[in-house]
Amino acid sequence: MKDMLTLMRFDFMLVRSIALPVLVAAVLLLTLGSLLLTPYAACYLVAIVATMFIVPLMGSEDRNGFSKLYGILPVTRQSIPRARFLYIFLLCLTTEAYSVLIAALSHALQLVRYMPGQDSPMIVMARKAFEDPVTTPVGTCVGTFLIIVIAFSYMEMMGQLLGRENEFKVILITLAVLTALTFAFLHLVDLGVIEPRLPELPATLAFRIPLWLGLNLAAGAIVAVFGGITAARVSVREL
Amino acid sequence: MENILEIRGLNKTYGDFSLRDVSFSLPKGYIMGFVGQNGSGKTTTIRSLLGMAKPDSGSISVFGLDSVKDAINIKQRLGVVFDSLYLAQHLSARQVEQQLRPFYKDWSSEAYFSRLKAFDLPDDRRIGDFSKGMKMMLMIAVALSHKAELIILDEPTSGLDPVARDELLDILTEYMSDENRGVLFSTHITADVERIADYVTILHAGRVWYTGLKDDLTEQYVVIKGAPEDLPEAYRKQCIGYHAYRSGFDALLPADALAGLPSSIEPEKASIDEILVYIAKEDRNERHADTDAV
Repeated sequence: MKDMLTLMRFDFMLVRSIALPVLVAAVLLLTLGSLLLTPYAACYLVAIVATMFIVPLMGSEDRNGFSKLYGILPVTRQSIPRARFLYIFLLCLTTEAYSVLIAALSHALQLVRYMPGQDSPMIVMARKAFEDPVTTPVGTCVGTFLIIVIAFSYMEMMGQLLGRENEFKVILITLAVLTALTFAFLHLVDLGVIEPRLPELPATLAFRIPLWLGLNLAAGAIVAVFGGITAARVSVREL
Repeated sequence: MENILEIRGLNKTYGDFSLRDVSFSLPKGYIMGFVGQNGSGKTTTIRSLLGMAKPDSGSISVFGLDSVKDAINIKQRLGVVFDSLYLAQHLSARQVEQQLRPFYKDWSSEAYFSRLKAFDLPDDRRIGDFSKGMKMMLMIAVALSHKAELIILDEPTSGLDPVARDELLDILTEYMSDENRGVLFSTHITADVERIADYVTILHAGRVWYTGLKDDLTEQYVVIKGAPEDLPEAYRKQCIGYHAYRSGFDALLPADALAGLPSSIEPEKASIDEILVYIAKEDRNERHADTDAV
């Protein structure tokens, strides 16, 4: 575990100098946007933090010749990819926790009421967000986290397994397949072939909090599986 | 003598290239020059030693420990310098130190920064902007900052100017002031080996051609030159890299085969460089012989 923490720190330090100034600006802006305008602004945080702190890592091995460094560091080969997946998960999870907190705080305080220009279209739209129960913006933050953490873990797995040069191709194919399936599904719904009936989920926190925690655990399990597959395949390769 | 590094029967095949039964050892307190032409298998041997390549067979022990089972323990005590930088180019030397420090139990920030100062390396500039020599010195500073007992250098002097090369060799000599340490130094610049190595291993076409004391090597072979008709056939068969030209011939000959050689043929002490050249010529001679036969 100590190896994994050291490797996560290694990854963080690799992107810190590039990402930190943008991160500080984004966190400040979205926190203020969420507290003073709409709670939904906080939901963008996971996407921004992940983009700033994960994307630069992808391909950093090739750019910097880290295959040699990985060969001389006193860590196991398995721990290198595992640490990367743990880094992705913990980074997104921490940001999700922060965005949930800010969204809930924004909903509770509703500071938008005290903003000037209450009749302006932007403020009117922002105020509408508070007609939703608190579970909606918080649930959106959780949903964003789930999509981002799974998407980035998938990208990392593909990049490590197939090579960064093929990663883009694979991701495009995956997106095209998902888009085609979504359109096919919507078309079938439109034709009345499928009648999707989503269960009405209670909007109470007593129901939603365990659901969100369960979804977080499921996301963690998916990332762990991606990490496990990648580590098993990558660690037997020569550097 | 206790060996700090021992390689026994190492075999590794990549397509057309094979390392075949590579065996050599380096006693504690010495520097070994690991020489051979490009593509002779030096880097593959080093990669096998570091666990970066998986040998088909053979065993490698470092500090008396198995290179596979005790890899982490070994790497804590090993410093490695490659021919190209393996650190994040956009970071400064100070940031690199913060990144690498937690990996090593015996890391000394003081040693690292004092080396940077001694090497005149700025700690706040992007290391990607460093010159080749500066990058090499930075890797040396990293390798020497965790009390490494064995330093492995893979072609560290290729591409360095003579001043930087000289500086690097001085650092290695200074490092060896502690007799519990060792250096394995792969290069095809044999002048560097002549200057600092105690032992030499010559790798040729994936096989160990010679391993032992450097002085023994240069005493074991001589270069002979003269008129081809002065060289009896029995001697010619023992020649390595025999090359005839319009006014004479030259070849490498084992020193113990010198007895009875006509006085018209003058033997000269062979340098490592000459030995490498004659080994390569011998290969070409064999190829020509094969072609002729066909």
